[in-house]
Amino acid sequence: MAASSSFAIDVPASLLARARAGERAAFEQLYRWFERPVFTLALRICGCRNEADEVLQETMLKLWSGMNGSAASGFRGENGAPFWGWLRQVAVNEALMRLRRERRLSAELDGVDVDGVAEDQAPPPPAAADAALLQRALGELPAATRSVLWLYHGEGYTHEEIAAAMQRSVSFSKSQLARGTRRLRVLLQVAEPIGSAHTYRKEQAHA
Amino acid sequence: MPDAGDFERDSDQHGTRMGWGEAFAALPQETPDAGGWQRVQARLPAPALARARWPLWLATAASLLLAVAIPLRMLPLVEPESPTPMPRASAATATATGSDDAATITVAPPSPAIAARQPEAATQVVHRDTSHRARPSQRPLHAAANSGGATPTATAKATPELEPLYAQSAQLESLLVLARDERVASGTSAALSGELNARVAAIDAALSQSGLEPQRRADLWGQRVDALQRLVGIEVTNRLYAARGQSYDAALVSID
Repeated sequence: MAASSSFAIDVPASLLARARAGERAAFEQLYRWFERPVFTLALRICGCRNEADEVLQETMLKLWSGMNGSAASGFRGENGAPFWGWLRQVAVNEALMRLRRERRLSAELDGVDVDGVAEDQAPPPPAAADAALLQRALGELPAATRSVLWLYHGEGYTHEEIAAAMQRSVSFSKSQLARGTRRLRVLLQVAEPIGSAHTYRKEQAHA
Repeated sequence: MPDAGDFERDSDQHGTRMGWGEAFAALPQETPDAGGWQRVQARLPAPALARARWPLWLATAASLLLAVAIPLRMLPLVEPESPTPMPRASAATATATGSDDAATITVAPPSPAIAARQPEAATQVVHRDTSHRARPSQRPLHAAANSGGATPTATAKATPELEPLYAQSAQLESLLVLARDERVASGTSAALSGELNARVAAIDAALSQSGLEPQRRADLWGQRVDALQRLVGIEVTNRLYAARGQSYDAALVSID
């Protein structure tokens, strides 16, 4: 959901105004606030710390040029749009552009059937609560699939928004989500301790 | 972090996405390697220079220098053609007293126009240790007046009026470099100083815009000089209080 996005930080208008005026201290404060959300998002999409670091750098430089009016796509705050939403979109575009540049998206997606997979409605397996396991499983997914999963589940993007960001169709987004979710479920199938499995079955019986 | 049971219950009540969404949201945020800000800063159009900090052994010499420099600051604006002896004298003294410091910082004049008149000032070297406190900002270069949208005629008219301000600004900056010592800064003075630094930076940013009206440019330079004067005043007062073993903060609230 969007509300759970780590980007959802309300930035005071005064701080934005100072950053727009070119004040370095204000810009540094923005950098410090959004450093980790941008890096995390980039790492989820690119799957590599070095690339995520480059995405962070480029995103922040675009933030600077956007704030100071030299970028055509700078933050304007029209219609009450939050600053963090704009910055997140810059980071997403930067990370996806990096994948496209390296042809990782096209290499992974060539020949993928966009209509043949039904939506996965089942709940996540218990192992999804284990952050280390979930991170490892995400790391094993192809970059495009992982990106769709993260944007949908982690950032609350809609299929339409994902399709626009990835320059693909809505069907593509839905298909990747279904495939990715199933693949993730398979990767998260771990032998549970007897006690926890028993408790889980008991909860299911009472549900 | 939610446990598996939470996911199942949430899934029952709110659907599948809630469960996966929570699982993703529970993942810890990743932390980039250190030094990211420095790398970004280095790539910004006008990176801030590091401000040097005074070594302890220069404190006495600095007090003597200030005794000379403060009256100079009180003098009327210098003539554009006349040299500005204070920064040169100050830097020369500092160089002479420096001996074993590890770092060397070149104090460059803020304006190419000033540098042109004082070529030796561009290579003045002051020995001191380093810190990463930012200078008030990158100085808006004198040349910026020619880079904007202003016509050559307008620029030519504006430049003579601005010359005294350039000179005074340069003089104050040189004085500021000598006067500042973070070790003797109190919380209040550091806050005041930071605010004025930010103000100077904002003025510099405004001055770097192209196409400024000559009158606007002159106003900004006037504001810059005013801010620098206040900044120097704070730093000098700080040092004087420190030399007398008093606190700037206490001085602000004491009623005699």
